[in-house]
Amino acid sequence: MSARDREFELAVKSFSGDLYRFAFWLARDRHAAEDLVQECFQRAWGNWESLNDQIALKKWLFTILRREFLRRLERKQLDTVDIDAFDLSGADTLGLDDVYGVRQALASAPTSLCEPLLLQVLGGFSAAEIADLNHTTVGAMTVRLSRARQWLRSRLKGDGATDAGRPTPGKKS
Amino acid sequence: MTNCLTARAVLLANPAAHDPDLWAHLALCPGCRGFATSISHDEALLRGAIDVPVPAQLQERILLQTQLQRGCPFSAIGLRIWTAVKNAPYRAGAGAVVAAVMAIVIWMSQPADAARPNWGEVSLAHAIGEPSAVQSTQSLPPAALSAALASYGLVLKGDLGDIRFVEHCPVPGGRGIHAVIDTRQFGKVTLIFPPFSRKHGGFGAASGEGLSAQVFNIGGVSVGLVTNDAGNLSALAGLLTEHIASQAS
Repeated sequence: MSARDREFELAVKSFSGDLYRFAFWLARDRHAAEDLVQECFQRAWGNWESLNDQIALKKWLFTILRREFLRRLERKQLDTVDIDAFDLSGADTLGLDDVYGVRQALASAPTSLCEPLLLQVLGGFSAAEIADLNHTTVGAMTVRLSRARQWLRSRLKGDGATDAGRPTPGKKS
Repeated sequence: MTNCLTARAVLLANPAAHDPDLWAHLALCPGCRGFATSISHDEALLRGAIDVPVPAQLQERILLQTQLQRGCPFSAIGLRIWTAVKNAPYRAGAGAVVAAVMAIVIWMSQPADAARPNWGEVSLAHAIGEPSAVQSTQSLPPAALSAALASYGLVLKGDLGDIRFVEHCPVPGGRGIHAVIDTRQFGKVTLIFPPFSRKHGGFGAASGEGLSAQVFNIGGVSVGLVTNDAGNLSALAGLLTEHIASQAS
């Protein structure tokens, strides 16, 4: 087993779960999410030699997955129907009704707001890192993160007035 | 000095922010402290909501798929297959295990015909590469299998046994179905369905690691069957043919 093989297997074990969750909330479909994660790791394996900094591995993988999602979105290759999307297992320490409400809100969130939030909460990336991924400024990303939480809070309070629309992800705000 | 507006903007942008100015403000402002508590509560809900269940076989499938697409010799998957062998319910002697693993390795090292892979070998590789599927002790409702079969225009008739596992699964050429049924007559059988676009014309057989695989026509679909007793393969195919039929027939 080569060092490359070991690194790759470790990467799969370390990051496939969070990448799957990220993909799930982008695509809102389990099968599409798994396809995205599969494609992400296939591409990562094919370019493994170009990865010079193992510390940057997580960011690299999230970037690959995000690009693949956007590529499929552009080509309309995403079927996003998932009847079991709101399976509540795994959320047993919180109020299930509340968690269900957040999941419903997230499922209807504009990608431009949902995606940075996922990268921050799930990926643990800073506003600067997310801004870098989105080719925008830290200030703009900070505003977008604030708007995302405000949007979510307003949705949870049953106030649909704060509708951010569905701006195209990746564009400067 | 941070004011209320700035404090709330910082909290909204990142509730976990380590900002001394923010903390100093929160210590003095009960209104913003309440806001911070509310944001923390929402953040906990958000984390819980995002935490959707990850498919149990995801890691296995990624590693298997990478190996299949690489078509390269024994490497990362080697150890994983060894782990699978150690944990497999179908146990074989050490010699047989080595021979089986090497057979799979040799197969994987050969240039694959991507358009027409030997589906028996693909099925065997999936059964070995996803040991948790065959080890599953869960009992799924027949509707789970019926729904999967319906996507191929097939219907389930009667009781085949305990449905242990049904998942869509990445396979060469697209997405197939991986099912495990614990039949009463012949024990466990793994079924690997090809992508819908390649449902006809699958072929091949393979054996290794105490398992045997062969492709059979079930209701007009070429399905790879994998079991631990090669002598049961034909009988299993007969049993499945009795219980799985084309909707058109």
